[in-house]
Amino acid sequence: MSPKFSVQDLEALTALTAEQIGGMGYETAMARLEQVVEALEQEGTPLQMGLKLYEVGSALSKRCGAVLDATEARMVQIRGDLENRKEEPFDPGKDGR
Amino acid sequence: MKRPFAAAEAAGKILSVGELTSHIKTLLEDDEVLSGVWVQGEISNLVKAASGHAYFTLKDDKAVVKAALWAGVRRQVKTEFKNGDKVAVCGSVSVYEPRGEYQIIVSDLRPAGIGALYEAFEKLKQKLAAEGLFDPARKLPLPFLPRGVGIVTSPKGAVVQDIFRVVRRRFPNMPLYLVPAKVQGEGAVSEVVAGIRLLDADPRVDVIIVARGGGSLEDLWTFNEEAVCRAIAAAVKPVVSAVGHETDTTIADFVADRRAATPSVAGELVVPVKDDLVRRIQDRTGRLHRAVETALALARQRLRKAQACRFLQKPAQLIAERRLKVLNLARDVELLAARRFEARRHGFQVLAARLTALNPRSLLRRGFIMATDESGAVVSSVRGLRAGQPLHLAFADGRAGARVEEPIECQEEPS
Repeated sequence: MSPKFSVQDLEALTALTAEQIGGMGYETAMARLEQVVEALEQEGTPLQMGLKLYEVGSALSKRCGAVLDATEARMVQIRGDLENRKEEPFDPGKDGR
Repeated sequence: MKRPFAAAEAAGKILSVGELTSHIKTLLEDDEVLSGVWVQGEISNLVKAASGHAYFTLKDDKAVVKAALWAGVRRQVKTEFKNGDKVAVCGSVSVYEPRGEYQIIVSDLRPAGIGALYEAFEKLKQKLAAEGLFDPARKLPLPFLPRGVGIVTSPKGAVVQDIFRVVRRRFPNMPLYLVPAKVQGEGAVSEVVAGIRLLDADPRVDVIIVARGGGSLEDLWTFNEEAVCRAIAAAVKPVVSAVGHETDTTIADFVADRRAATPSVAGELVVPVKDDLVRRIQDRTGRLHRAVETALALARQRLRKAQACRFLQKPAQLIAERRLKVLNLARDVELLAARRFEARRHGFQVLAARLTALNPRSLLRRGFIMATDESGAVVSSVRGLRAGQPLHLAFADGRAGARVEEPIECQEEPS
């Protein structure tokens, strides 16, 4: 069975810069991280490549965690706003519908 | 017709009072004209008994007649009446024998002069229907939640209170805009029309209720006036009519976008129950929170699964696994090399033995002699040898010259 990730694939995976990773959304970073993990566990991945994969994988993992933490914090904030909302008088000037 | 007394007495033809009255009763009650006749007059001597029956006298400038309205019928009569009212009653003439009085037993009572109103009603209804003003396609839908509710009705009385109460109960902070209007009598039409137009032009208002309490056909007549009906039809905002009781129908009801049986029903039609809406919002909010939380939990789970990769947890594994592999391979190489060496040595020994066996020097040692000619070629056959030819003989320990005596060829190759 030929390995799932060719050398070119591995090179593309490890070519991500910290800046690129820092700008990724959860879905993208997570998908990349899963690929990195698969590549790390793949037989025949060169050691040097493994090291790079580890580096990129760690950065992606950190990014995912950060995005989730930020999302959760925002969610808690929104929820708080919603629960602390005071009943406003029905204002016919605003569109009440 | 005058019968002599004696003859009458002799013939037994003198009636008792009861017999006479009974006879009159039969005459009157059998008469077709008198059963179910309409009589018009003014009410006087009205007595409304605790039993619910009503008794009165109907009179005009020439005569009077007594009338009785039984409680059961009275409940069905829509027209209010009092002394001095001109009414038309339908009934049968009956005789009350104990008093020798005849009276009308009323089965229906209407205000007098109502026929003209009915005619006008039907005429306008047909006219507006022909114009398509009752067309269901013209009906505007009521807003789900109006910004404000406009009401055209009398500021006095139960109607405005009913509407306010119902709307406030359902939606406590719903703005209500009341345009007070006369709903009956002189000026009522223009006031109702002005009220509808005012509210229709008011941007704070999204739906208009035109209301009036129950009453006689005459009382409700404002809402059968063409100007009022046209104002309702012309409104760009939906208009709900709540005129009279459920059984009363006015032309305004046909033209309105919705007809409410009562003012309270109108209040229910125009605003939703705020608590229901709040509950729905709370329910959706709860579902929203749960959905987001679930999504977040799933995302975290997915991340944890990826993070569980042993190479991410312990990158040293990357090296350790390879180191182990290298060690294993080194051992394999060693074993393989050793095995190969053994095999080679064995082969060498076999060859060496064979080589020893094939060494010509060992043959010479065993007594064989190797002869070569002048050119140095090994002589392995007598053929071509000539007598006197010199040969070199090689021995194990030296060599000697020799000469061929006589070559003799054997017949058979010696084995």
